[in-house]
Amino acid sequence: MPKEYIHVGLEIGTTKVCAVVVGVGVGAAGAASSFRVLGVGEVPSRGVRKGEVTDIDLVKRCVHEALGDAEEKAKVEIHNVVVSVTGAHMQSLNAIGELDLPFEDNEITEIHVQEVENKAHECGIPRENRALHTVLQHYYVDGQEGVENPVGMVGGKLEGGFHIMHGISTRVENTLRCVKDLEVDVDDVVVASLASAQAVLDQHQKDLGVLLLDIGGGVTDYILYRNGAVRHSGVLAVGGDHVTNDLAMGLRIPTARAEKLKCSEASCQLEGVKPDDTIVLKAEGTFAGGEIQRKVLNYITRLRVEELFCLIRKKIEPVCRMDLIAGGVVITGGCSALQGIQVLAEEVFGVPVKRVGSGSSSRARTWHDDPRYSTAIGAARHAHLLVNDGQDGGFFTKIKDIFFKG
Amino acid sequence: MLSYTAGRNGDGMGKRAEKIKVVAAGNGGINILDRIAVEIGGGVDCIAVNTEQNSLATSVATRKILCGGSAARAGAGGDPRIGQAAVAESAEELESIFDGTDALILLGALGGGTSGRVLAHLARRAAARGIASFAVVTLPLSFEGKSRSELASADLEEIRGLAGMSVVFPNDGMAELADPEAPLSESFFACDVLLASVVLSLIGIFHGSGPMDVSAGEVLSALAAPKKQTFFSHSVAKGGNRANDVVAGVFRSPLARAGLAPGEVKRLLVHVSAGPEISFSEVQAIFAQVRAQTQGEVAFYLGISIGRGNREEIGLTLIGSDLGLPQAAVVSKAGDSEGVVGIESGRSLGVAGEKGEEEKGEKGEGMLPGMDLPEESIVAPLPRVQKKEKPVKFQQTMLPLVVEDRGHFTKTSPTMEDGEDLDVPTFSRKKINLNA
Repeated sequence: MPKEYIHVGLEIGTTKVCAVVVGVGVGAAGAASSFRVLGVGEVPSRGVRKGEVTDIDLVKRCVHEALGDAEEKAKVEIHNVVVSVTGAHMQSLNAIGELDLPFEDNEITEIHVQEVENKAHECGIPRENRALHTVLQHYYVDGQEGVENPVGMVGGKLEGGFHIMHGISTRVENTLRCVKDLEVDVDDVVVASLASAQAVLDQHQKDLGVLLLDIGGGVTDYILYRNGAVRHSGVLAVGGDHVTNDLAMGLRIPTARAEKLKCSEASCQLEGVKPDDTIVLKAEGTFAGGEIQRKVLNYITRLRVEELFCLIRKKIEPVCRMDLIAGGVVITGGCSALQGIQVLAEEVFGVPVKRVGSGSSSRARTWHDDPRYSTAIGAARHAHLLVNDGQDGGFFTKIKDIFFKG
Repeated sequence: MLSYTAGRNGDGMGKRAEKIKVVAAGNGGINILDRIAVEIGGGVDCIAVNTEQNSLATSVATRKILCGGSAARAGAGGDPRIGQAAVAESAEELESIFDGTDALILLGALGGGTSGRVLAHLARRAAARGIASFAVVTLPLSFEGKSRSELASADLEEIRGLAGMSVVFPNDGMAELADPEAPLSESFFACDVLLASVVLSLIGIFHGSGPMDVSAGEVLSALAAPKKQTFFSHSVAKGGNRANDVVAGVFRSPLARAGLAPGEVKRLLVHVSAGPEISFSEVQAIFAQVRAQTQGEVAFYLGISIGRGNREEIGLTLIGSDLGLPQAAVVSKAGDSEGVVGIESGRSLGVAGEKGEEEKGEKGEGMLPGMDLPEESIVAPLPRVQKKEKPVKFQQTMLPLVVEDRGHFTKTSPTMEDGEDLDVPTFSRKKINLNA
C-alpha cells in the first residue's frame, strides 16, 4: 500500500517568507512515486536583509503567519520543517580526505569511508563557521578515479573529494531561532543553493555540468555541478533589491514605485527601445508622478544585472571554464522573471541559458514552474531525502547535534 | 634620535610616543589654541607666541613667548616689519621650541603682522633642522581689505614653501559653518572649532597606536609636496552607519573645498581612528568609498589608529597632494625594523595601492624610512618637482563628485567585492551619466 509522507520546506527570504507543504508518495519498494505540492503559505518578509535575520521578533511573526497560511491551504498541521539558509557569510571549499589502509586488512568498510570524510573536515574552515553540508564528489581508490561506492573494495589508499559548504554558526542559529521559538521542530538546515538545485535540476544536467543561479531579493545563490558532483557554490549579496534601489536612485522615484516598475516594465534589453519611448508614472501617495524614459529604465536595470552575472562568472571561471559547462546556466529565483534576463545571461556566460518556468504554458503551470518557490520546494525535497538518512545518524542527525544540543 | 618607543605587543597593536608641539602665533592662532588646549591633554606642548602681552596673559597655553620684547609689546599693528623685527629679537627663545621636538603644528590667522612672520620663521627653522612641520592657517575675510589679503597671500606662499603641509581655511568660508545671520562671534567660534578639529586630528594621527599607525615623517612622505596645495579634510561619525557617514562627512566638510579638489589628488593619506570594535568591513567600506572619489592614478597611504577618543566614533582624516606618484622622495635609511611602518603595512593590506595601476614602488620607494633614524636624516628636504607652479587657488567653487549614496542599503553592511561597495548603484560606481 503506497504511503504519502508530508514534508515542509521553509524559506526565510529577504522579500518573502514562504512555507511549502509537499506530499511524497512512496511505493512498496521505498522509492518515491509522486511528489506534489499540497499548499504554499507566503507572507512579505520583514526583519531580513540580504538573506540574514536582522530582527528576530519580526521574522518570528512572519514565519508564524506563513506556516499558518500553509497549514490552511494544505489542510495539514505542521510540526516539522526543513529551513533553507543563505547570506553572504556562506562559503564553500573543495577538500580531500585521505586514508592509508593496512596491508593485511585492506578491505574498505563504512568506518574507513567515514574516516575519510572526517579527515576532509580537518581542512581550514574558520573556527566560527560550521560545515553545513559535506557533499561527496568522488572517491579514489589507489588513484582510480570516479569510484562512487568504495565499500567492499580492496586498496592501499582511500581518498574522498568533498565539497564543504559552511557558514557562520551564530548567524545560522539566529535563523533557526525564529522557527524553534514557535514550537516547530527544525529537522534540518539546507543551504539555499543546494535546495534550489534539488528542486530545478535533474541528474542529467548535473552530469553534463550546469550552473544554477537563484536570484532572490537580497542575495544570489549559485551552485556549479560537473560530472554529477558539486564543484563550487556560494552567495553574492546582490539581488533584485539592488535593481530596485538603482532604479529608485537613478530615476529619483520612491523605492516602492521602483519595485513596481521593475516588475512591470523594466527589461535588461536595450535593443528595440525607441529613443522617445516614455513611461508615465501616476501620482501615488506623496509621489507626485512623472515621466521617465524607457531606455534609461532598461539601461539602469541592465547595468546592474550584467554586473551581477560578470561577478558570478568571475567566481566560477577559476573552477571551471564556462564552455565546459555543457548543461548551460539555469536561472531561478524571483528576480529571474525580469524581462530580457535570459538573453543578457547568454551574452555574459556564452552558453545556453534556461529560465525556470519559461517553457511552461500558462495552463500547465505548476508550483514547480514558479521560480519564486524553487528554494522552499527544494528544502521540502531535501526533507524527504533525510527520512532514511536520519535513521542511521547521517547528516540530518549531525546538524541537529550542532545547533540543538542543550 | 627620535623618541619612538615602538614595538608590538601580543595583540598586534603598537604604541609610540612622538613629541609634538602645537605653536600658535598671533591673536587668531592663540584663540584656536585656547579652544583645544584642554582636549589635547598631556603629551603635547601648547605654546603661544605673540607680540601682544595681553593676549598671552589670558591664554591657557603651557608655555608663552612674548616675541620682540623691545620691538613690540602692544602688538605688531598689522605691520609685518614690526613682526619680523620681533622675531629676530626673540630668535633664540623661539629656537628653544625645537628642543626635543619631532613634529610641529603651526597655528595662525594670516593677514596680521605677527602670525605670518612667526610661522614662516618657525617653518624655516624646522625645515633646516629636519623637523616635520604642519601649518594650519586661516586667510582674512575678503572685506577686510586688499592689503590684508595680499599680506596673507605672501605669508601663505612663504609658509607653503617651508612647511611640510599647509591646511588653509579662508575665513570667507565661515558663511557655510554658521548661519549668515548669526552674530559674527558665533561664526568665528565655528571657524575655531573647525580648525581645532584639524589640529586634534593631526595629533590623533601622530599619537594614535594601532595596526597601521602613522608618524609625522610618514605624513610628509605621503605629501612630499612643499609649496604645493594640499587636500585636507577631517570628519567624525558614530552610529550604525558610521563608516558611510564619516566618508560623506569628510567630503562635505568645508575643509575639503579649501585646497585641492579630491579629483586632483595624486597621493592620499587615509587615516582612520576608532575604538577597538572597528571591523574590517568598516575599514574596507571607508577605503573603497574614498577611492571612488579620486580620479586617475592615485597612490594611497593608509593609517589606522585604535583606541583613542570616543570608542563609538570613527574619525577619518584625508591628506593629499597633487605631486604625481611616489618616487624616492624620502631618505630611505632603514634603521631597526622593529616598529610600525603604517604605510608599508597599508600596501600589504590589499586595500591600498595605486588606483588604476598596480603598485610600482618597492619598499622604501616613496614610502617610509625606518623608525630609529638619526635626527639629521629623519626627513630630508624633499625634492622639488620642476613644474610650473599653478596660480594659488584658495577656494574651489564646486566639489566635482558627491559621496556615493547607498539608498535603501544605507543601514546595511556593505557588500564589498574587489574594493567596491556593490550596494552603491552600478551606474553611480561606473560614473555613467544616465542623461547622456
